[in-house]
Amino acid sequence: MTTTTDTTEPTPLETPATPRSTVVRDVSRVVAGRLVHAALVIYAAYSASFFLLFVLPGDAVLARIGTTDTVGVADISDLDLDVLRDEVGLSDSLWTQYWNGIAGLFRGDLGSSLVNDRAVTDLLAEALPNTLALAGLSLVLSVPLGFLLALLAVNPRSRLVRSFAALVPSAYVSLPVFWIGILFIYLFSITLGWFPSGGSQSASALVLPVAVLALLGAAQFAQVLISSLRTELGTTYASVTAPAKGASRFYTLWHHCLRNAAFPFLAVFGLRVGQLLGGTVVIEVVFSRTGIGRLMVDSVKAVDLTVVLGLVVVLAIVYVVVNMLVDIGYSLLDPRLRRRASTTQEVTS
Amino acid sequence: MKRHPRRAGTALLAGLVSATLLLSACGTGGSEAAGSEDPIQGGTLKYRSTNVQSADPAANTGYGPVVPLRGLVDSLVFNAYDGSFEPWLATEWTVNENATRYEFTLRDGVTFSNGEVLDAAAVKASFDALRAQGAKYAVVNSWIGNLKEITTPDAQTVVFDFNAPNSSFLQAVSTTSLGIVAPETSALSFDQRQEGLTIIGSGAFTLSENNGDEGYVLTRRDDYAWAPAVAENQGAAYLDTIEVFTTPDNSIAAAELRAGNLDLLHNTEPADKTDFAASDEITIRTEPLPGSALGFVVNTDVPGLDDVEVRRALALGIDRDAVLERASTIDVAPTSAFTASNPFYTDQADLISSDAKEAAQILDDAGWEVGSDGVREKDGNRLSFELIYGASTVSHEPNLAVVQSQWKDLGVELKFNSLTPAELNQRQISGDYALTWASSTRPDTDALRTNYKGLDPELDALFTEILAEPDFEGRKSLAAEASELILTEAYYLPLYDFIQPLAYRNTTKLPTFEASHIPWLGDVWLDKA
Repeated sequence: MTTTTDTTEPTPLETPATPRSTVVRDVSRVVAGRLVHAALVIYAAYSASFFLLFVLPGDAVLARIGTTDTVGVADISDLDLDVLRDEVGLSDSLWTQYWNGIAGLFRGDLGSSLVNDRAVTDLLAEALPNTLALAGLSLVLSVPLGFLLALLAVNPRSRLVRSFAALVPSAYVSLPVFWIGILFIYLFSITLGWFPSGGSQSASALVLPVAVLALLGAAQFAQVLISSLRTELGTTYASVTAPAKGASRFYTLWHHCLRNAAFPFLAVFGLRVGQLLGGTVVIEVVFSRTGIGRLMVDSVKAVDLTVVLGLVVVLAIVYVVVNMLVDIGYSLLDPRLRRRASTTQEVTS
Repeated sequence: MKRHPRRAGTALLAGLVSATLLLSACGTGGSEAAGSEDPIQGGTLKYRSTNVQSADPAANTGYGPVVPLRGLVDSLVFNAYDGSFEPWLATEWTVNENATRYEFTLRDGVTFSNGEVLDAAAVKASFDALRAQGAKYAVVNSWIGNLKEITTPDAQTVVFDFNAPNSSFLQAVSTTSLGIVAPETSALSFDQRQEGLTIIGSGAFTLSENNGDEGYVLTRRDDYAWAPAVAENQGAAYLDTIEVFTTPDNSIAAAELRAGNLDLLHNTEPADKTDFAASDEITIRTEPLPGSALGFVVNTDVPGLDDVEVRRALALGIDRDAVLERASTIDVAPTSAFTASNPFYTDQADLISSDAKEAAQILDDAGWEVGSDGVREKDGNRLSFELIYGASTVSHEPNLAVVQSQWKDLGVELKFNSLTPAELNQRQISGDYALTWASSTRPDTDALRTNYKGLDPELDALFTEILAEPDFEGRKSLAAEASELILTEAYYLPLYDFIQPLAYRNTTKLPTFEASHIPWLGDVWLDKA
């Protein structure tokens, strides 16, 4: 016990109850632990990407001079690129570049693109809101849709309806995203003319890409929910106890099974957020949108170290935050986890 | 490996495209009414390019991104369609006898859209800004060449003095990339020029909105009054605005053009080219872009390729008719090292032939024996070659596969590989390749020099001579000699004259083209009353 050391105040008799200062300390210890963990994750992600990028052939200076469409083979060999390499810092040793990058990170300076000289923070500021809008909206829509699909696949009395509803998510998940995107464009934009086929200049341009991603998210969620709901429905409390007490099938599902079935859903939810931030590139290319995914792919292709590393840092932060939220979600869903957490803390303190 | 998803995508697209084709064919049969003969004022031209770097003309040198920028900046001279030069910002110019001194007299009364006056100092500042940034503007600086100094004897006169002759300089200054920007823009750093509305020119349009990677918007400048002399419209442009979009996917862009959501399009997949060529709503230009013809540039340091007989056998071993059968209907056989649309082109079709039997005979005579794996070898070297190119060449891969199988019958292995720009350039600089893709687009003799200098003293002497020869006819006959040498020595293995031109709806009227096949935007109008 490391509680109060002041002697003037008599200690309360109910010592097992944790005093306020201990709670604060516990919470701050947990938060500090989380922050150290987060910093380590970001540092590791940064370092790993930094050294991986050096394995790629060529460098950013070679990428920015263009291709043979405009410069011939002989002319490219004649170019003196070392001045440019000096200027953007690519002629420094690997370690100097590495430590400069880390130092910049501590100052909050992500540097500027090696390809077009623009500040990485500017590039991120252009791309991030677009991706966040796309990912956020589709995520918000996909959760209720996923639950709805899952309930449809489990609740109805007709086996036919249930089987069909259970088939839809699996079918959708197995289609390639770019294909669905192109299909949506041909159908809703080019043939029917309801929505623009691409860009991010208008709100209506969000409809199609959000729809593709929201349906995909919903299908993934539904797949997980369906299987766990089926398991729950087979347990004694749902198949015997609840009906015996007169609860309808839907009531049992809604009030009893869903909470238990939501655990695997939360895990998939966390993964989905990650997928959406890093993996929107296909959708961004198909729908001609600026965004994080496209910026990442273009930058990796151009060996644009600073931009890729800036993106890695931002994405690592998002992953850490999302993981934290998922953990909190677990303990909200399951009181046992909360209890266990507090007892372990008491034991360790 | 990387190519497979794309292949699958293309196949799927082909299916989808044909489906939509049927739909659109049903919807809009015979809508091509008798359109207006006289230009119609107003409207918005929607143009699509695969990508844009920015709105900085000097940072954009590929055909697609340059098309709309032609409206933003004017050039000292206008390179007319036949290759001749016409007055524009310069009313007259003189070139000395060995092309080391160019003197331009500027037009009076030209202003930039920010109100600054276009005078000798502004022109000098515009060029100096590019030279100061060195390799950041690598391509345009290589076009400018070995410049000694720019002087301005008076406000209307600019003089360029060179350390070494550069007879290609007049063509260079006619390009959009070397269009004149305002002193306000010249004062900016490279990165500042890449964003926002920082590019200010004297063109018929001004930059009014910049959407980064997704494109930008140009708006008509009402007080524009210095169109090139050959333009039909000498006043302000007909169009109100030009919206520039970037659609990474060519097939989606083609569908947008069919649906009427676009007016003008650059970059088309082979299937869409064939389809557009037969369309009565859409026109696709069938002239190849001026430059060098498409094919393989040989690395003569590679064992086997150092032997002219082997190179000749490889050229003979390509059956171009079979390749063209696989390519789109509008691609044509090459007849020179230049494309047929290059002003310096001379027909040399007799130097390009196919004969698999003779090719095999040549290789037999040279001692290349077919080994156990079907590939010819001699002294431990195998006739196995890797062709490298960038992403923009991927759509040619089905045609390359035709050559691959033709060469296989000959006992020669061809591997081909699409690389990122960084890797492609690295391997070209270090000489780590056997064959690379020739695709320079420039309506000038220099399209050859930039790929083939340093291979052959005789050829280098010709290139030097061309650079010191300012006369058009003189350059043309020297260019024909250079092309002949390249073909007979087989430094280049010709494949076809590549057509990657503009496609547009028939309501889009493009009366005037530059030698570079870029339309003059002040003349463009839309027949959509």
